[in-house]
Amino acid sequence: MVKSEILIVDDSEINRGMLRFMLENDYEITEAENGAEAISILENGDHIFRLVLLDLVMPVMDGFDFLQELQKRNLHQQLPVIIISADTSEESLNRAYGLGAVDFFTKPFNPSIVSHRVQNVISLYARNYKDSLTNCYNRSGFIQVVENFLRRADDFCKYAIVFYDLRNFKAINSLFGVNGGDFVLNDISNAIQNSGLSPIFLARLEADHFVCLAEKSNINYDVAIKANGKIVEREGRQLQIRFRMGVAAIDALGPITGFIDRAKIALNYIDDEYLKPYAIFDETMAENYINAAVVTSEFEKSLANDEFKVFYQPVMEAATGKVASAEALVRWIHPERGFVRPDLFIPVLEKNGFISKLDMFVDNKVDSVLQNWKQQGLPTVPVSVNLSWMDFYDYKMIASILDRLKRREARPGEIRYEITESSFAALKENRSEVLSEMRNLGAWLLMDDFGSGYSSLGMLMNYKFNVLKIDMSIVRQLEVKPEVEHIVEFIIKMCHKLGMRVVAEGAETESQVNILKNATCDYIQGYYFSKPLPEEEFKAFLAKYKAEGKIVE
Amino acid sequence: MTLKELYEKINGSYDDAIGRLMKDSLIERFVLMYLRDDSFNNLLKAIETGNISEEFRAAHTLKGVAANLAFTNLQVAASNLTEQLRSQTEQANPELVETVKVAQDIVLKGIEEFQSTKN
Repeated sequence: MVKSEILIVDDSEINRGMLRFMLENDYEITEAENGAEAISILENGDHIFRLVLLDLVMPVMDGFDFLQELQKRNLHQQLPVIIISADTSEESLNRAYGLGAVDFFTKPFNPSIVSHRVQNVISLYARNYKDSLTNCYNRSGFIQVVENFLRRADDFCKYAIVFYDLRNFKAINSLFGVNGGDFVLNDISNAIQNSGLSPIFLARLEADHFVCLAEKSNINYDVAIKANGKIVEREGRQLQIRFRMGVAAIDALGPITGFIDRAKIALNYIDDEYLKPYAIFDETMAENYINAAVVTSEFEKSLANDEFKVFYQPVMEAATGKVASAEALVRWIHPERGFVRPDLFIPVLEKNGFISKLDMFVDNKVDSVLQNWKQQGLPTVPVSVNLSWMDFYDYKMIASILDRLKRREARPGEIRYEITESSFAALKENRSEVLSEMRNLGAWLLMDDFGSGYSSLGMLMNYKFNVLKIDMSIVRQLEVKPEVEHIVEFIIKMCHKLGMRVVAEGAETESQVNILKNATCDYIQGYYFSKPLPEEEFKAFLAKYKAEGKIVE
Repeated sequence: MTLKELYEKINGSYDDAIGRLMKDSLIERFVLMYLRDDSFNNLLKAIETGNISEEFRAAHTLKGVAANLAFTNLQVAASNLTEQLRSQTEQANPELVETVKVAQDIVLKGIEEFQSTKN
């Protein structure tokens, strides 16, 4: 860690020299001969002083005038001043305290008193820029020191901001309790500090987010992997600490918050947090980046302008490799920003309530496409549409879904809806009747993202699903951890006993597919078979499979 | 000449100095710095020009430096003058000034002698 800086203001070289000798092991010292010189050093802005040691009686500008100048510049609240003076008359000290000095010690200087007073005052004021829990910087302290550091660095391009997203903090808190969680945060702060990344400055931003400035050359695969997966133990219980890291290289002397944002955006581009738990920001990510305010203001116009497109990802029957169904996925192709990642806009729409409009758009679109293809005699498969829990409180939308189910008199399972675990959890009892009604009218219900959050077996007891979808985060661990195979096998067996079928999502490799087949998984969805396809490509995909006799009838 | 002998000669407190600065080498460094220190000359200049607030300031600074160096005799003399000047209503008392001069003279001579035995 970087030493705190102290400004010593005294007209005597001997006095300054003695203080320097007493403090220079623990602090970075700058000297000024009088108040005027001190003010000009402060205004120059090259330093971030945590303390001023101030003589009162000096030529040119004395200590009292210096204190007044500090007040004028509004610096006195952030920058504590300790009076060092041979003059300990009550009158002088009262005047100095009145002007904002916080403490004093007299000449001759006693090293132990000097170091204790200095340490006390600095730590008392540290709450302005430090996180009291972990003793690393807080957000404002971090911004201040990093901007100052980069301004003075020979080559700011050597450095990067690294944003740490702790993966399982909620679990840590619930396992260890809040105090235990605090303990873990401390542990994490130390682990980052001592990691191969050798951070120059480290800060805790919000509850479980850390950010640091480090040399770019220290950031590599090995370091990221080593920093990850640390086991913490408390009261005999063990937990693995996992991060995801977003990296943003400093390429200009701008506000550091911009780089923190970029590093945070990069987090969204980590494909597989187990294989490579970090991503480095590049400009294409910025093009995709869209903030919540823009989503909110542009959503309705974008929907009307047909910027939202429905893509179709085929779901294959595991045993035969035939197409069994598809999932409708929405994509936003913004005229200026291009492809906008769903994880950037869907959470915003869920917050502001627009998600139901989007879901309804997708539902109607899928229905009209399928009807259209059927009329033309083209092959189709059932396509599932994602619903948010909020949709169940949108009466217009529910009415439209139920109404269509009645009109279509579709075969059971021809119309399908996916609802995430967390959405189910958010549904109040009276809304679950809607689910039953949908089922009674022949719709299939799919539980989406099983295993991504807090999977509850209770949910499986209380609601009836036709299909359970195992989340891709589990599928991707199949080859990494041998235990996962057993868990998946168990989930599938359990579902079969409960009369459900199972889709595994996010399968990318042949070995994942083989493991899933062996575990008697019914259906598999993922890039191994096909990415989500735009309407025309999906039409061609189905035509090709139809010709080969590979559509599940 | 040892530092201890120097402090005896100039009526200073070696025990105080070593208690605070811990090492002879450091005391020596600061003691030798005193040969270049302007505090006393600034005091004389202020008295010549009759600027009372400057007189007070200079006496005060001298008192502080002498205290830090544990030049007890000089410190007491400078302190007495500082108190006489504190109200900044009357010129420096010549007797008190003379005491400071004598004490300063003893300190300078002592340090010079100490320095010559070092070389």
